[in-house]
Amino acid sequence: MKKIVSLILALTMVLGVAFALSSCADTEEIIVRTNAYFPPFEYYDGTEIVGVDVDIMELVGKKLGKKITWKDGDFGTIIDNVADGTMADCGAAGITITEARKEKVAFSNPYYTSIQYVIVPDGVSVATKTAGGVEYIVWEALAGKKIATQIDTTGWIYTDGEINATEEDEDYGYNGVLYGTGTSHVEMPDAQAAVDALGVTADVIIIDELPSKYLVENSSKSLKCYPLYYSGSDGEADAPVEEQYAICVTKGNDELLTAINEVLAELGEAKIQEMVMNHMGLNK
Amino acid sequence: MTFFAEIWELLSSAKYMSMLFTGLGTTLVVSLFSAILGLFLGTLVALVAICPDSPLMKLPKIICKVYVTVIRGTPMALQLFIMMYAIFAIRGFPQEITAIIAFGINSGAYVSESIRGGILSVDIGQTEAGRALGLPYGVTLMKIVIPQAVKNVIPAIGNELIALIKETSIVSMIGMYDLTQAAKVIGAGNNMASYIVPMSVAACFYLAIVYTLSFGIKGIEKRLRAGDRR
Repeated sequence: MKKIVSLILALTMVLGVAFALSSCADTEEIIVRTNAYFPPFEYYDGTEIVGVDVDIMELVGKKLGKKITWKDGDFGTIIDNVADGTMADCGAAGITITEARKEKVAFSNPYYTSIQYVIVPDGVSVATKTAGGVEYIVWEALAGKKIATQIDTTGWIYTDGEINATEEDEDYGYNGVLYGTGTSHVEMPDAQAAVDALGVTADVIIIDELPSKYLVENSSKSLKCYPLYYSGSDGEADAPVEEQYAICVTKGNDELLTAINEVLAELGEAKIQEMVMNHMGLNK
Repeated sequence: MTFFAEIWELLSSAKYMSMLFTGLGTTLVVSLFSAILGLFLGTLVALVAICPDSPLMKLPKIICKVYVTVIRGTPMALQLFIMMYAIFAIRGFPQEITAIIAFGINSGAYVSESIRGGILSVDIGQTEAGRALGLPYGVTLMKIVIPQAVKNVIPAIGNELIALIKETSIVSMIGMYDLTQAAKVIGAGNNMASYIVPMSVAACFYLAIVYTLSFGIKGIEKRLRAGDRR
């Protein structure tokens, strides 16, 4: 009797360990973090998340023979989740490469270059400049305005810097363009909330190029958008506020990083541009 | 007038309605199960809290006190964040369960105080009478005090349940597709491109749930008070 009991116990333990090991080794799926309010890169179609980033990651999944699982949530939590690596393997949400983010996660090669745009509603006057056929707005023209941005996005980071940076502050070491001009920052949880805030608590919005065009196109309010430029110092031309999007991966996950880079290289700029246009609804 | 036209546009669209109902499902599931967990936890904590002091009960009492203080003293949104991104930061762990546990634990703290209040509101003479008749403490509590207390706590528990249902709207923060998330998606640029109309409709959904619930609670209360002279 004792023998049988001990045999059963031993068997249970072996099975238990085997089960535990097998569930540990379950890497058949890639979990991707995102914030699905950033069209055309990711947005909800009904209850499904779709967009350019989704198309790219599906190709990566096909390449590695793994299932892609999307997890939506606040944009600000993506970098931490991916850096930690237990809950997500990578983050695809039109994430701009910044130095601070690079310290925490590994970035793929950039796949899209975006510039910051300003959304201006009818009835708000902001001085525009024109150079080389492009009508744009410089930071100085926004002095005294109430600027809405989406928290944690690069628009938010730039606006925060230009309003709050001072020479005394060691983190900056320069005076922000809008420092001391009475400009205020309206921080919103997502881009659509910022559009709804226009004319109520906010005058203008600063957000990336494509989402801004998308919002202007679809809103029932009459809005216009212009690229945002830094004024060039003496004699230099004004330059746009540029940034590059990439997909971030947990540090050390080289297999996934390589696969993403390969897919991006295979797609090439033209194909990605085509995906963008598809999701913008401009190819219909 | 466009506001009403847009409301009609939303209500008559099968796509939008199915999104809202998917969201409604999540909201109901999360509220129902966390309410059950909350009632269970709350009752347990309240029973520990009203127990007479004894060396054996010292530790459980301290634990319950800390639990109620911490949970009632911190915002629900932060508790949900900590649950999601620290405690249950497990690969592939279902978010619904994380949310149910977070809301259940939160609700339990409030429910326990309501129940404790209800039990304390029963006249001490009732306990004394039971003990004088030779009934043990447990039997006095279960057969004499609690039946009277239940009647007193129903309105307070109803209040808590209503608050819980509305509070579940913050699960959209961790990316769950509840009623509020559905309203946000309908309000996104590729659909109606304004939050105002879908949010108003979602508000009506919440109102309908809460109204139905308060109707049910009134019914239960009426049944329990059938023998009262007031």
